[in-house]
Amino acid sequence: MSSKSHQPIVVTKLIMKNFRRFRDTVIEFTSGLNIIVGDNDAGKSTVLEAINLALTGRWQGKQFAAEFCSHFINNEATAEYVSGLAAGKRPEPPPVIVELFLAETPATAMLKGTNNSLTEDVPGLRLTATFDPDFADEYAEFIRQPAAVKAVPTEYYRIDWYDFAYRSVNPRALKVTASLIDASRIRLQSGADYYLQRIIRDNLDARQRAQLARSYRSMLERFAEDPAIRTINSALDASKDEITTKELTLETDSSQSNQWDTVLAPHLDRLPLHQSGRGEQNSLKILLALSRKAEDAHVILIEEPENHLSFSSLNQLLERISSKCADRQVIVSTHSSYVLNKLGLERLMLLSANTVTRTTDLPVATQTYFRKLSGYDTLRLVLAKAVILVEGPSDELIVQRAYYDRHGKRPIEDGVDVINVRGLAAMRFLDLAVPLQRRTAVVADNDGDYVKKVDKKYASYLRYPFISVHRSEDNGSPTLEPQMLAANGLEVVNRVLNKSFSSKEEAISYMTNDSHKTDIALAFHDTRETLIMPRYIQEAVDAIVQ
Amino acid sequence: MRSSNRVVIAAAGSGKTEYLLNAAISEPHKRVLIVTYTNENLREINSRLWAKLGGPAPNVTTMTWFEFMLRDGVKPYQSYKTTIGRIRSINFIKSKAPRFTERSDFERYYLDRSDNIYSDAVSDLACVLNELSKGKVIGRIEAIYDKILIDEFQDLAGYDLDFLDLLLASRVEVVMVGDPRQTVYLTNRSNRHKQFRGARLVNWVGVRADKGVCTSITLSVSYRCNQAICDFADSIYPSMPATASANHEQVPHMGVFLVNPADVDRYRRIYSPQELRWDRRSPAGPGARNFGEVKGLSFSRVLIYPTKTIVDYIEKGIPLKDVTAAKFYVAVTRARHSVGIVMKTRSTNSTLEVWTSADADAI
Repeated sequence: MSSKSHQPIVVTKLIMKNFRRFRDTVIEFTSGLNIIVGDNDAGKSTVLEAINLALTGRWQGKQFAAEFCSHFINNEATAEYVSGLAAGKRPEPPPVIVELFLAETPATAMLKGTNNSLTEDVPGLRLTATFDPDFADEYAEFIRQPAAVKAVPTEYYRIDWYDFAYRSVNPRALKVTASLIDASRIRLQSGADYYLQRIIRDNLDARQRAQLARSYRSMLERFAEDPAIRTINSALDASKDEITTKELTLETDSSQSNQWDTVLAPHLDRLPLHQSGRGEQNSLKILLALSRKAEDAHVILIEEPENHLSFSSLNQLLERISSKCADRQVIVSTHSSYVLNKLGLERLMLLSANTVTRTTDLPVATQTYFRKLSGYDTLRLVLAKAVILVEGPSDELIVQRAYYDRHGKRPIEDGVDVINVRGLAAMRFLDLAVPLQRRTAVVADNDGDYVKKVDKKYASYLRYPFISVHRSEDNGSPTLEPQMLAANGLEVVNRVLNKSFSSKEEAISYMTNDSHKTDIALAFHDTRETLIMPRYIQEAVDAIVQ
Repeated sequence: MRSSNRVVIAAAGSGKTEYLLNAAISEPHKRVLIVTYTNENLREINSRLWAKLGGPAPNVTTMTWFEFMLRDGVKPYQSYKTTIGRIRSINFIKSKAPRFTERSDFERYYLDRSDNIYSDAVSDLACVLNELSKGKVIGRIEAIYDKILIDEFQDLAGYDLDFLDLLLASRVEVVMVGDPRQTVYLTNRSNRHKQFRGARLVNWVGVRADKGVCTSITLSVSYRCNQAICDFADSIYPSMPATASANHEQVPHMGVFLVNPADVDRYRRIYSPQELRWDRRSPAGPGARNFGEVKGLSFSRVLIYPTKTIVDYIEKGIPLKDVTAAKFYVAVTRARHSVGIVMKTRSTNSTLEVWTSADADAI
């Protein structure tokens, strides 16, 4: 074990410009564990792949230069370029930049300099795809008919890979490395998996590797001496001239002699790993990566560890990850509230649109709140497309019904989550919704004074176009139940509740009794009666789908 | 505290490259950089280093001075003067860059149209960037090297010397070896520090040694040349310390001789000397090499075709100018046993012995 307080950090910052979903994004990383959460298309895997790309020059295991195409260029940047051309301008083909900022250690000092877009004096790597002026003639020809241009002509781009001292990167000499573990793209076949090979190789020291190569070679030589081979060769010799006039023999291919790693395949309980479950393959890879020597400048990138894993193996895996990340930097992307809860919420990075929010950037009171709250509720806000915040279980049921009546389906089918929060908690959620730019509608009781109890309380959030607050201006109906009564009338309420109140006052005193509230809400939710929803609830379910 | 920086002024054949290589490998835990001006000398250093260790030296990096200036001097902090990643390579110019502007005109003074930096401005820009960045250039070098060894430091000129001052003042241990008597090439022809060109570089070293930023060491024992050759070579630079010979081998025909052009054929047949000439215009025989190309090499015997100014020096004692002196010193000090100088001997006032066929007949 390394010292307790020593939290190694390898990657400090990632900058992406015009790269896939990211127009111009800076993501900072901390030491130890970093958890990236976000929508499916928020670019979680792009972040992990980009780190790996800057460190290896490879994209999903293949040389980036060969993989690069117009899909790598940000849509917005492409649109700007295409429309610029159409408008008769001569826009520059958008440059793609991926910069990885590294922590300063003796191993990275060589990579230090200010050749990065922030001109910070730090070690780092910069991979760019830019228009190659050598293709000036071809490009001039290409834009002769600007209206025909639909995409950026990446065939005229060049890929450059430099460190911040502006020296070309020699990937084999690079002392900073990453293991990217992505369960959805396991290419583990007998000895042919790039990552696994690398991990195995890296776990052996130079002497062990040399020893393996030597025994492999001598095994090949012994094989060549095998009587069976000799028999074949003499048979071949006998049929000489029928095939060729030259001497034809079978020999072991000595050019393959240091390829021991292609014939060695990992086995689990004597079963070849590629025949075991994907989840098991995945977790073995993660464990192998985690078991590397701690002093390495090595960052571990894990994409959605929950994939293909049973509950109990996921649990074990997560325990290993959280105990190991004390002495190495681990960046995990996840979609699972279970993973989040298990790994802790303090270090959450919420990825959305073009921004990254860390839970540590939120107001302190909000951080404290979310630390106490179960990870599940936090994640609901993070993962939902849109959220309606309501003030109690009854409100939740009524809003569900209102949504169904209006849109013909349940909110969750549209990715809209109705979350029940009490009192000040709504504001904590809004603090989180702001950096996420999450569409949020608050449905609030006016508590007899809509100006003071609602409007003033939420005033500071209303400047965000994606947040709306809904309440009734009828101070005479302070909560939901009187509002429902006012909207639908005594007769309908009596039918829904199967009651026969003779006056509104009588109905209200029954309905607002805490012990009846849930039953009443359920009755409204389930009734076949046609209901008229209070206007502010109607507005909330309308607003949320815009 | 006395500085650990050393400047070693080494006479020809005194084992300066050996000294440098030992300094490189004596402390394997230190990260060492060896730089030298010429590609040829870099290859020599690399192959001798390999031979010494029987393999690569993991702690040693080697590169040419210009590579060093571009890679560690200019590129990392070019952003203090221009856009990031702009400067591509070096435009090697013979004498002066085709420019008509002042240093303040960055674009045209330092760079050509393809964003290559002119070779005479590389160390200049490295110094400028270090100043603008408040020492980041040197700071980075301090972080990546513990020791910088400079071979043939006499080849450095102009702003190179300013950069050397920055290195001498840094935390990096600097060892420079070379011989100002053998200044046959220069990295640039800048007028800056012109007063220290050639053998006068010794004065530059002296000032730094007096200030205590380095210790000046002299290697004045030649393992190559015999004493007679050392004495003759020393006479070209009377102000430099005398060289003692450690070559005590006894062979026929030792020392420095004048050879009459009429006797050259016979002299060749008997001694098979390596013939050395100023350039192709001289009447030397086949296999002759130029003075400027034989630095670092050893031959048993040499036969030198002198220029007019060298003849004047031998006959009348007229001192040689910088480059001629250096090249002649290099030519003379290649030989272990004998130096022949092809001259019409009848007119000479020199005290040098004249070779006659009779000498050879005695063998």
